[in-house]
Amino acid sequence: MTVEFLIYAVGGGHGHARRGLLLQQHLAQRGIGSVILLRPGSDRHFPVSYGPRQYALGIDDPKLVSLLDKPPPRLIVDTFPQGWQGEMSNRLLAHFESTYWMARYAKTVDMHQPAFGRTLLPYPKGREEWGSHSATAIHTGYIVDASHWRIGTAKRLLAVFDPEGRCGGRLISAFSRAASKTGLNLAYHRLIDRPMEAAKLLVVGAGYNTFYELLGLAMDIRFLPVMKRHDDQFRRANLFGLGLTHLDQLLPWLDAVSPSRIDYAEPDWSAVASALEV
Amino acid sequence: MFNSDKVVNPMSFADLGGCAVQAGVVFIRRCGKPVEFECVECGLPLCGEHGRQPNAELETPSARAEDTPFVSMGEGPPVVYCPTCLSRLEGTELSDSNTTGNWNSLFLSGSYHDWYNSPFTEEDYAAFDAVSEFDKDGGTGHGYDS
Repeated sequence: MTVEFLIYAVGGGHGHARRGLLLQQHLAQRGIGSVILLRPGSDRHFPVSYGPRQYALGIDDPKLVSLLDKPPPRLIVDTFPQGWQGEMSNRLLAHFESTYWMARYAKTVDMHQPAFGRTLLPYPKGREEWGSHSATAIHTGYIVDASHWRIGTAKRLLAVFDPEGRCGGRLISAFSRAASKTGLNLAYHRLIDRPMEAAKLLVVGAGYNTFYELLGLAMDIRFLPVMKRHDDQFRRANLFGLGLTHLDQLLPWLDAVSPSRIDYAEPDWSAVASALEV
Repeated sequence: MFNSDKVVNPMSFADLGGCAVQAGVVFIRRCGKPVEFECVECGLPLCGEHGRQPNAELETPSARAEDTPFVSMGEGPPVVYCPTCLSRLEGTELSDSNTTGNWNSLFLSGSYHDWYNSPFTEEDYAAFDAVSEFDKDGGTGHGYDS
């Protein structure tokens, strides 16, 4: 399989890696090869590989000389148009025949932003988190994979899902007391790796993948956002009215019969294929 | 919430003495002034500034002369409530705004109405807030931020 794309998925968290690997998988299923460039360690939760992976903090890393010496024809840059280290430039983009920007967000207008051939928006139409984009930007739906979640609603249980382990014993105890006041038992999870049932699901963190993967569950769900350097989890959670940002909001939520919601849209892979001209 | 005063669970401060109403917006502090009354409803220790009487004319503490006596019902001690209990008693809808002339509106309502039944301590609130605090590692790949 010849390598057609370089997927630049270098970034702070796991989201870049997740989207990049999903793209690589999708391309591989179409018989199209790609190399993914990742920050070391950012893919540790994603062991399955659909193509070659390279590790660096920037595309100008000296060890990638051979990659730039004979680059794949096309480049996809995730989130940061100037690259994770600000190394992306029009001169660098000129190495490639076609360039694409996966515009996770564009909080500010940057006059020095390099010019990409096409812009992909990883949101359903009308659900962009940030600002306006050009009329030619292409919506791809959320580029997430929610297929591994199997959570039912039957049990009288408050499930707290804390993937980063940010809750200490005191807070877990407070959650447990609050749950018991409303007739619920508490189940605390660092990892949900098997089918689970709970009446309410409280998620610690509201990153792009965590949020949109869980959004599609027909569950009474709330997110406890975390301040991050680049992401705005408070904004995202509150856009959907699903943020739990004060402990005083917990009991009223637990006590209420909230409507479940199904708001998940599968990635629009046909839009992705059309945008990438594959 | 932008209110200036709120009532805290007296059980947490019973051994500290002084008025148990909590004051402030950003830097919340306990009032702590000498206790003159106890709320007849909940027993909260109250200073003269934070004691409230039903159907009393609403006035700001600064407008009330320090020697203005509280009204007694007959021969007994004055019937004084804490702001939260009085609000509940009178069915007053407390406002978040502190710009009205209604002194009651300066007291926090909402969940604090339920402070007697609240399962949370100040430490619980602090632990909750700490979870959301800035993730300094978020920019170097340990968070789910991208």
